[in-house]
Amino acid sequence: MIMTRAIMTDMGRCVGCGACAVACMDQNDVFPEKGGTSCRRIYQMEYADGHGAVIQYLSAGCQHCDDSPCLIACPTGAIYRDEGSRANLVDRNRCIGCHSCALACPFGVPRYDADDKMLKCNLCTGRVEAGMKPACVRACAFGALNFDDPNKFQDDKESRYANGLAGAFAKTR
Amino acid sequence: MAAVEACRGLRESGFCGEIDILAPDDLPTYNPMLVTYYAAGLIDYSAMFPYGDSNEVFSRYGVRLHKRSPAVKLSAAGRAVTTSNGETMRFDKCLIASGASPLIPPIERMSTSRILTIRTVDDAMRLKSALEKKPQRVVVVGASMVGAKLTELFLRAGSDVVLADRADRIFPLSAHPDCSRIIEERLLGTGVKLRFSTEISRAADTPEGLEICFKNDLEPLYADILLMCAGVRANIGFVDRDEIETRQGVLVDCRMESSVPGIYAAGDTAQGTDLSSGAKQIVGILSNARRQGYAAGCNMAGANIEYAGELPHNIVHFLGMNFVGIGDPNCCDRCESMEEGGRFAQIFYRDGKICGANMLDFFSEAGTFKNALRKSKILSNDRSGHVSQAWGNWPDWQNILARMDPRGFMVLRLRSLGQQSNHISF
Repeated sequence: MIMTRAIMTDMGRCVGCGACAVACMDQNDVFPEKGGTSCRRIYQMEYADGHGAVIQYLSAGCQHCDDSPCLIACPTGAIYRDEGSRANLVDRNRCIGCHSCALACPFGVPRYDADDKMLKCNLCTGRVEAGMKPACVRACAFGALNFDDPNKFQDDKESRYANGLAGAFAKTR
Repeated sequence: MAAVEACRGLRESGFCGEIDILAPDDLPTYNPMLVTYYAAGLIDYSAMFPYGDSNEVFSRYGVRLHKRSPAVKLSAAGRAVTTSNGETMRFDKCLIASGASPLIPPIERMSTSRILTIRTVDDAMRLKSALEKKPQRVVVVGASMVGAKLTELFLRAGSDVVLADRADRIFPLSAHPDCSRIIEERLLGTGVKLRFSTEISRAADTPEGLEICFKNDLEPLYADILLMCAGVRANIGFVDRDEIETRQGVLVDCRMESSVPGIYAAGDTAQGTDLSSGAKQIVGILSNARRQGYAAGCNMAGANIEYAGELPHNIVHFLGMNFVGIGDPNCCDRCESMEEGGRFAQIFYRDGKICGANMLDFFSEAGTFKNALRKSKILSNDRSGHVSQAWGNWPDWQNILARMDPRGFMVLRLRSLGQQSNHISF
């Protein structure tokens, strides 16, 4: 039985190296020269924070949403939720390549293979069942990608903010 | 589909009473969008029914299904509905989710066997049979998404296809004329003939085949099959328009409730909020029907769920093209276009804000764009339009367009969204 875990990106650590995308393609036998793409995408974000320009990177993949827009938009029921892993998976035999999921997904996740069947992150269920981490997480040399209980991520995040606040108060004294 | 989601909403919101569904036939719940896919052989017959034989889902929600019992009269004041069998059923709350039927233009018809509509399971069977016979000459009326799919099907079957529409271009409701022109050029390159800005006046069997006459004194066409996909009309003939406010469909608020408290509508019968224009429109999209149905079900059970509405949006994949239409291109006052490596994108503006887009062979960013725009529209109704302005004033929108590098990675540059940033520093 797979635990309910998720892939979380720590944007403070992501450097946009693309190792996760390469690992994903390797794991899923994707050939870029044949038009295949990774299930992860690397975004570069530029914005101003009041002190100057800030560049951040984000390695993003399927969020396996609870209220999945792709699942709701799929006309054949090809996209379904795996009750064990809570991952949203695709039944290739039912996918008709209508691309409705592409227009539904807010994260630009769906891709299509040469047979027009939808491709997306499956949380590396095979690897996880064998006790390993998802390929992208294993390949991340900076610790930006983690695979764990989402509640633990939230706890860690809140702890970091709390520590940051405490540090800021300490400086004002 | 909307009715099934309503049942889910009812039960998940704690409703323990009786649920009755009146069905027009004895078929399981089916998806009209799958008709062309079944005819093309991409799915088998059973796949047209996403809930299987529907017994499991109705049993799960404790629903009594009345087959072959379509409603023929709804009395809002009397809280009763009469079925075609003459049975009158009383209700406390009612959902109108009776779907839509093909709209057939008023033409003089001297034959019906060669004229096909594209909506029902029976239509799917007839279409599949027609396709297997590989007809030589086919006329498709309705340059819509369905019309485009039909054109593809029969072109691949070796037929000579004429695509006709009363509008002056393909996808008149979702494509800008510039985008339509590019699609039409590609269609002409595949051998499809186009006949726009005219209407059929008459169709009759002759020794040369089905003779199809047009208005504007155009030469008649001869075909083996005439496919009608000129839109749909909500099945609300049983609704008393003096009791319940209707236009093309049943007018509903954000709780999916009609002008009569306790009577709701969802799916192809519901005229809810079109986020693109703010007007009340029927947005006939599966996900919209499902969300409307669920919200209606929850509210019928006593909850207070609001469904903000939907942007009209469509994606169609045909003849090697991917066309995406978001919002209504006919209500923009300005647009920007970009063509790159055979891909075309166009953003529509109204009053300085983005209100929609067309994307051709550029679907990978379509979902991101559509959802951001939808969110901005919802937020702009609630919170002074800050997000909407951020998008609408984006000076360099081309940066949202994907640039694929040789490794297949996409780099998306996001311009400053000011206070929208989640960057926090101490």
